[in-house]
Amino acid sequence: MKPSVVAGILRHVYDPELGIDLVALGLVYGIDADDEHVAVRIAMTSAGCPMSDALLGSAEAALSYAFPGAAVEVMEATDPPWDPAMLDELARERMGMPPRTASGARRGPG
Amino acid sequence: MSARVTPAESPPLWLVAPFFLAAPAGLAAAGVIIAGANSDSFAGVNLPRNLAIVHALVVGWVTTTMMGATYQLIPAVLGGRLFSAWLVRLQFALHVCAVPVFVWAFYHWDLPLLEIGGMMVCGSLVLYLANAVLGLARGSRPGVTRWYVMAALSFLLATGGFGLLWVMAMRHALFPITFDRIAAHAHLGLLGWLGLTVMGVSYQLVPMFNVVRGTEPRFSRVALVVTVAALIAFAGVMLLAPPRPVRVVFAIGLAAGPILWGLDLLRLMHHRSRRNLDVQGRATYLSLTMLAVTIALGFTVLAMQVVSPERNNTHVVVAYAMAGVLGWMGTMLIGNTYKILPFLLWYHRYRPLVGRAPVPVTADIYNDRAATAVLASHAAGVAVLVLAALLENTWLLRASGGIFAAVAVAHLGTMLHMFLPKTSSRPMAPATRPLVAR
Amino acid sequence: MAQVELDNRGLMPPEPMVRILSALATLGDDDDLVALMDREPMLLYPELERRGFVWTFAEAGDGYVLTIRKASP
Ligand code: HEM
Repeated sequence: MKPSVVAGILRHVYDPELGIDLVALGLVYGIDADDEHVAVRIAMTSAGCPMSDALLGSAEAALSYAFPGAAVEVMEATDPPWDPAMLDELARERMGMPPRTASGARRGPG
Repeated sequence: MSARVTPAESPPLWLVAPFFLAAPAGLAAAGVIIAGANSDSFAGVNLPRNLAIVHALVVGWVTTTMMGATYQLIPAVLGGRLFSAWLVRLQFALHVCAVPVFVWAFYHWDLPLLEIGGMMVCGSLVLYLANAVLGLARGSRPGVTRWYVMAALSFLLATGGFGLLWVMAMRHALFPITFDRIAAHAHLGLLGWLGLTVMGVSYQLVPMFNVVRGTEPRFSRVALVVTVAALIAFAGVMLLAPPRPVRVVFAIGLAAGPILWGLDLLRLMHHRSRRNLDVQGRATYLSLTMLAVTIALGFTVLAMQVVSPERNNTHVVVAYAMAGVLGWMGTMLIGNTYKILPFLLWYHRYRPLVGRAPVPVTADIYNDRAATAVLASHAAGVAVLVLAALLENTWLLRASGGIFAAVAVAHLGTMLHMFLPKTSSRPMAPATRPLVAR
Repeated sequence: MAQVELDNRGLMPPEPMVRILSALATLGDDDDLVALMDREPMLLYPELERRGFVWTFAEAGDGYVLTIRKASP
């Protein structure tokens, strides 16, 4: 399967605390996928956060369920450390941060 | 660099939740006793009724909540492992039996019963300490919170020990209980156990919940060292009945740690990425405000004692203690309850379903508006109580008691509501599965 | 020098303590407060100490008598 399909699954795995998905949070550092195996590298928002630990488990469960034939591997990525600069516009909006561009966020459907 | 996933353990839901659900009974009991107060309440700090109110709050409400919170955080956040689940259950059973006896005995000033109740409470504290200390000793993540909790647990032991010793001294006329001795017990309990726990845990939770990145606390170590040193010195000196100027110096030392902590927290909150405040963020700001009020009242008490020691300043002492316990610590506690319990529920009920079914996030599990209403009513109660004490107004005092009893019921209601089945407000993944079916 | 008397026998806590504390509020510098008690008021002592009073407690008949006066500075 294509990395974009894998990302599509991770877009629906939410940080339970923030209510924002892994992709929007910028936590997905790498996706490596073929027909037999799916390997993703996911960062944590903060070290030692029980939510983050649970998040990696959630990602693994969601991917295993979505790709039953594949060997799923979820690795914790620590380099570079996650930073709020990695949030996408959707996540920034949800967290109440101002849009990144001075001209304002793109509005409209999609 | 990558590492294999090692999910932290969260303790079983029904090991921890009972502590949170039982604790508001302490707040309710205190509220009812306050609602029945008369003008005597300001006659003396250690009138039986005042002692009953204080211990219903600190041992019944705050300590019970903190027990639940630390049982959760030690494995889930601090990387330790609880020593024994059965010990936790036994301790809970003993605790809920002990506290009513203890508070009742204070209220009716029944010394033989107080001795029994005090022993039961201390038994519960010892079981709790054993589990928590052994839990932390079984490996834990580095970090300052662990040291705060360790220090707090030691002070809890000292507080319980002195408390029981004072009860036995009164019951068997071993030695007189002086005001200084009470102050030693009270400050070891309030600042050593309750204060250090609140400070240490919020150093961990506030940056986590509010997504604070790139801003490190400046004083987390200093505040701990200063507080521990000041408490040991204060307790030691108070047992020796020092002259007044000496007390002033040590009292200022006690305030230093919380002030540094408050400055740190303001800075962390200022640099948070999660700009939308939820109930926990609001609670943090409220709690910091109440801390400032508490410290101001504390210095007022001190100044009054230096200027005119013979004047009865009970009303200011009451305002000070209640602003600290109900305001500074109580608001923080209420705020964090709406984080810890929903996470526990999510972890045990919904996490196993992630990816397979629409799963609620923690914000779906508790009602933020109801929680904020509870928090706001509680803060209003504290304001009314502090005002009542400063004005020595019995009617306002009673009204605040009514508010606290109502807050306790509403707080419990919002917690029970979390246990009802919840649906997700977030979209589910499109049906990938059939697409990849071979 | 006057003597203020207070009979606290048969009263339940915290009544004796409250009565003594309010009586002390108007006690003159050289006055004695003499209170008849059923039991020793353990919780009262720290309050007396804090307000700068000294006291004696003695058995008297089948009860006790507590005598309180301002500490000489
Ligand atoms: C666990 C946390 C505890 C805290 C935070 C705490 C706090 C306090 C505070 C603030 C006071 C002063 C209140 C006043 O004078 O109105 C006080 C007094 C007292 N506490 Fe505690 N307490 C705790 C546990 C205990 C325990 C376990 C016992 C007994 C077994 C105990 C026995 C007493 C006694 C006897 C007094 C009054 C002493 C006197 O007036 O002679 N306390 N406590």
